Amino acid sequence: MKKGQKTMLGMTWMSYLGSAYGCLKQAGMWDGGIHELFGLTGMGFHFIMHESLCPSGPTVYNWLEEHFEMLDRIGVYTRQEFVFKASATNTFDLARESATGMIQQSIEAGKPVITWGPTHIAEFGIIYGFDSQDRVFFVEDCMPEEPDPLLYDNLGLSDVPIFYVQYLVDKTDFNYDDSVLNALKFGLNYWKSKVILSPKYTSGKMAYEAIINGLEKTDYDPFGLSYCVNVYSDMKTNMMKFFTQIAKKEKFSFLVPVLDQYQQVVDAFAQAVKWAPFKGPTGEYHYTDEAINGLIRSMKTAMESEEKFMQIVSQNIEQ
Amino acid sequence: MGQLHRIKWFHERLLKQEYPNCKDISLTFEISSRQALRDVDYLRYSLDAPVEYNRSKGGYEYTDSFSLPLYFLRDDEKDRLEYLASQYALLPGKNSMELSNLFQKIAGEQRGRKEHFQINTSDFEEIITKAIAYSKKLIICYQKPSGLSEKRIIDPYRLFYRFNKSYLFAFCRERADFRVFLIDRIKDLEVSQQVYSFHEDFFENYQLIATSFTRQKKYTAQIFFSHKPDLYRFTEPQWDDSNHILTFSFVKSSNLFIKLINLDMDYPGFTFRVLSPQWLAEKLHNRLKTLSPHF
Repeated sequence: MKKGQKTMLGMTWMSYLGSAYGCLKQAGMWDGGIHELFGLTGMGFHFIMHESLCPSGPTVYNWLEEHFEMLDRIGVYTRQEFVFKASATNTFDLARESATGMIQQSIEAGKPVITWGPTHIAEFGIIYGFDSQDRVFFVEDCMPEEPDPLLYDNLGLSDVPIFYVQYLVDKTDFNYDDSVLNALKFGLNYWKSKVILSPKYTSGKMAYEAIINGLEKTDYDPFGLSYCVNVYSDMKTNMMKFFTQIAKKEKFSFLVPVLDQYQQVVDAFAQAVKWAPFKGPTGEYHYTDEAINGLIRSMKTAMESEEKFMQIVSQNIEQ
Repeated sequence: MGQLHRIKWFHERLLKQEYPNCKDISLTFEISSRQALRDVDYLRYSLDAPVEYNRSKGGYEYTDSFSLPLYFLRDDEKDRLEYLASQYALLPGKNSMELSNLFQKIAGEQRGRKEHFQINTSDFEEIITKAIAYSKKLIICYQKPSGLSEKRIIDPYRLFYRFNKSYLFAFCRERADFRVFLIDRIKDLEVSQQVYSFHEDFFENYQLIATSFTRQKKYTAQIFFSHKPDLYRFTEPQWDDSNHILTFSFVKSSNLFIKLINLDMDYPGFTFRVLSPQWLAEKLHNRLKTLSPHF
């Protein structure tokens, strides 16, 4: 018998945030907008690039640590399981099998589960239902078509074989302003960080430099470039809404004079999206010299504007 | 002197309307008349040159304007292009088909014209590449991890490399399903003269089995059919003749749906009913409901 309520991802290019939004809404743990979730969790500061500009950037960070902290900032306690299927890993199948019952329990309690790769797409998604007779989980990914369910036997066996689930356990009250402050500190750290998991990945200001270097050397993944530009354009648009919202509070009014700077970041990314439109995973990606030069100009503008914005954040929260 | 040199010489005389013939080629290059005739045939058939014999002049002439191509491909280079043409033909999308046609055009010859091909190598990968380009079945002796070898008849689809090893993605006739074969474990190999036809489930199986290597399982379905369908269109089919129930594996419900609709079109009055899994029955039912206003 089929159990669980259909749960859609939130409308965003960042699949973890979209999945978290969908699950939290369904579980009654979040009633704000998606831009607010971007900001409060700190996910909206996740600007990470690989030196090849491949599409992995937006999902390469410490999932266990950061996903816990992100939802903790909105007062949601979560449990997670993470096992990478390396050739020397013995317990991968045990982890998957033991999780089946936990996922069912969470769904029966009205809490869908955030997971990695529930379909062949290497992105986060949602497990929202199950049918024990057919031995399948009902899932949702970031594509518009309704995906086929996930066989119990295939849990964790995506093309990037990481078994990852995050259960929403419970919710507590939290101090909104403290969480904003906490998220801004997290964002500032990301802006200045040098290495994210691997030396080939950079974040914040250095992520901009990675894009500019890749474009100048004409040595980059053309699909990844378009994908990342689109993901981050969406993210920064959401963050603009968030900053505009919190700047109305006296505690964060220091943002008011630099909102225009952040708007320039958003505008530069919107222009970059025009130079590097997304044509789907099977589309052809070619860039003219005009497009490459346009992208470099956009990224330089965005980097300078975000630098000014983050300087103000730094001056005000590190006092 | 090579064939290219002789053809250039012959072409220049044709342009000057000197009506050269095989004897001229034979005498100039000290080759047999039969070999000279093969040069003329190559120009006419392989390069599509409008060359005709003019009896009154006692030699050949161009009946239309013609230029020699700027480059010539060796046979092994043509085989590689034919291989690429066959691989792109398997991929979905208009761009892939255009690339397939382009590679075929550069390779020159149409695969359909060639019924036999020469094997001048003992390199398994070379042989498999040719077999794929010409859609020939292979009979292989394959060593299982246990060390035992067994004979398999396979339709080779694609060679690929993973972790410094070569693999072959193929349709195994014994298993009636797609399989990945490690080239190092192929102990013997024979090219069959039988041509295989393209299996419509190739791409989704390739994505599931060959791109991830995570041994993901396929869905299993049971469907009642009023008429026995063509079992080759399914993978791992088991037909229960007394109850008219087909059990088979599949990868994507959307592709299965298209297949079932097409089966219906093939047989007037044909009906089917999904017995399991339940989710598939519901999904197909919903798809049919959205389509029904169009019929």
